[in-house]
Amino acid sequence: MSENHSSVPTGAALRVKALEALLEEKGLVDPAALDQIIDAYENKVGPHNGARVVARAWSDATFRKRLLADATTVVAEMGYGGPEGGHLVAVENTPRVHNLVVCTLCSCYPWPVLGLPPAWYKSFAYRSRAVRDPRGLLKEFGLKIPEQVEIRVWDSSAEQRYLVIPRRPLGTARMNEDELAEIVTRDSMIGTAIVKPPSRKGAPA
Amino acid sequence: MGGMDGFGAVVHEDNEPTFHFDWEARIFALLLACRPYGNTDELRHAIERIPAQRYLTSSYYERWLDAMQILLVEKGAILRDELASRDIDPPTPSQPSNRLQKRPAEASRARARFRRGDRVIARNINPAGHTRLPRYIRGKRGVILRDWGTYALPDSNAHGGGERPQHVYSVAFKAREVWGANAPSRDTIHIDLWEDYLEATRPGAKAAVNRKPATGRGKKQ
Amino acid sequence: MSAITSLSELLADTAVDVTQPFNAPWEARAFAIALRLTARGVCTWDEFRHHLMNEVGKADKAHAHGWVEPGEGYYTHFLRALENLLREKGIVDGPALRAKMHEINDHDHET
Repeated sequence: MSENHSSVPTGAALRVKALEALLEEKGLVDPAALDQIIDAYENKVGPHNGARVVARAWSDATFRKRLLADATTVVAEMGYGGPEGGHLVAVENTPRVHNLVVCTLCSCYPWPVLGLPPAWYKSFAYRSRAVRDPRGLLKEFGLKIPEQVEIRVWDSSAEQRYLVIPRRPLGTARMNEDELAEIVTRDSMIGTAIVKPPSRKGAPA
Repeated sequence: MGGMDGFGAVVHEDNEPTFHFDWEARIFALLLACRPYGNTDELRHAIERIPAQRYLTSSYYERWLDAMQILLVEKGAILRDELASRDIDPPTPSQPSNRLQKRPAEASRARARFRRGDRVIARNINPAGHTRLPRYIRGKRGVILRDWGTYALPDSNAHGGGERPQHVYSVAFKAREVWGANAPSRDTIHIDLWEDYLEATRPGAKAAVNRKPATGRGKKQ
Repeated sequence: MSAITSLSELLADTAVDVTQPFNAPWEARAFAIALRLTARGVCTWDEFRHHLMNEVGKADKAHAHGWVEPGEGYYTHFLRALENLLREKGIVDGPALRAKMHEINDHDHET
C-alpha cells in the first residue's frame, strides 16, 4: 500500500511518517522490510489458514484429536506459525458447549491462523460484553445460543491464543477438504458465528 | 505436554498441489532425520523464535529449515561456521519467548503450586504497574483446569524486575460467580492466570475433579 | 463525524472493510514498525503490549464514563503505545518527532 503523496498527510499519518523516518535514520527499520510485513498481513496471513485447519479437523478424526491436544505443533506442521502463534489452543464447539474468544486486556488474537483481528474484536464494546453478556452480544451477531448450551468464553490474558473449531454443518458429508475450507468463516473461528449448511447449489452460505 | 511422539503422519491427499507435496515430503524426511536432536516441543519453540521479519518473508519450506537450523546449532550438532561455509545464512533466534526452556534447575525452582481441580481465588490486587490479571475476575473463585507450563511474569518482566518464572494456569469461573445470580447458570469464563495472581481458597484445600471423595467428607467448601 | 460507540454500530458500519486489517496506510505502517522493532530485538512484544494495554485501558475508562473521542480508532492507541515505548527506551523523543513532522510537512507543502 503506497502513501498518497499528492496531499499533506493527516495527523496520525504524519506522525507515523516522521517516526519511520527517524527510525530509519537510526538504522532500526528499513522500508522494504516494513513493506513485506504489511504485504504478509494484508495478503498472506489470514482466516483462510484457520479454515484449512478446521476443514482438516472435520475430515480426519486423528488430526482432530492431535489438534485438540497440541494445536501449536499441529498447526505448525501445516506451515502456519510465527508471531502470536507460539501457544495455540484449539477449542471445539459441541452440542453442549459453544466457545467464544476475546482479549479483554488489549486485542490478542491467533494471528497465524486468523490474520489480524477485525475492528469489532478490538472494540471496547466487544471486549467488555463478551465476558459480561455473551448471549446478548451473540444476538447482535445474529446468533442465538440455546439456554441449555454452555457459552464458554476464553479471555486470552496470557500467552495462549485460541482457535474455535466450529461444528460441522449438515449437508457437507460429500465435501472434500478444499470445499469444506471454503465454507468456514472467520467469525465461526472466533465464536461469533456458526458455519451454516451450504445452500443447495453448493455455494457457501 | 501434548503426548506427541514425533511429528505425526505425513498426510497425502489426492488433490494436493504438486509444490506443496514436494516440499512437505522433503521437509518431513529432514525432520525425521533430525529427531534425535529435538522433540516436538523444542521444534515448536524454535519455530516461534524465528525472527518475525524473517519468518514473514520466508516460504513455508524456509521456515522449517530455519527452525531446524536453530535447533541443530543450539544443540551443537552443527556449528554456525559450518553453515556459513556453505553459504547458508542461519537465523539468529529472536528474543527468547516467555516460554522458558525446561532446565532441571529452573523446573525445580518453578514448581507448580496448583493442579487440575484445585479451587482458587483470584487475588484482589490493584497494582500500579503492568499486570495481566483482568479487573473483573479479582476476588472471584474458580477451578484450575490446566497447567500451561512456566512463563515469565509480565508484572515483573515489563518493568525490568526480572522474569520471575512461574506456572500459568487455565482457570474456569462460573458466570454466576463473576456477575451474580442473573447470569445464565451454565455459562463460564476461562482465563489464563499466572500463579502469583491466585490463592488457594483455603490453605491446602483441594477439590479433585475425577477422584472419589474421601470417606465421610463432603467436597463442598 | 460521530464516534461509533456500540457494537451494533460497528458491525453495521459499511465504511469498515471487515476483510482488510488496516483502514489506512499509516495503520499498516505503525503495525509493521512495531513488529519489525521486536524482530530486531529493539524491544520485546511484551514491552510493547504493556504500553498498548495502558493506552487501551485509558480509552476503556473514558468509554465506561460514556465519553468517546471522535475518530479514536484502535490504531490511535497502537501509535501512542509505540511512541511511549520508544520514548521510554530513549530512542525517539518528543522534540525530535515534532521536528521531523515539521520537516516532512514543510516538504510536502512545497511539492
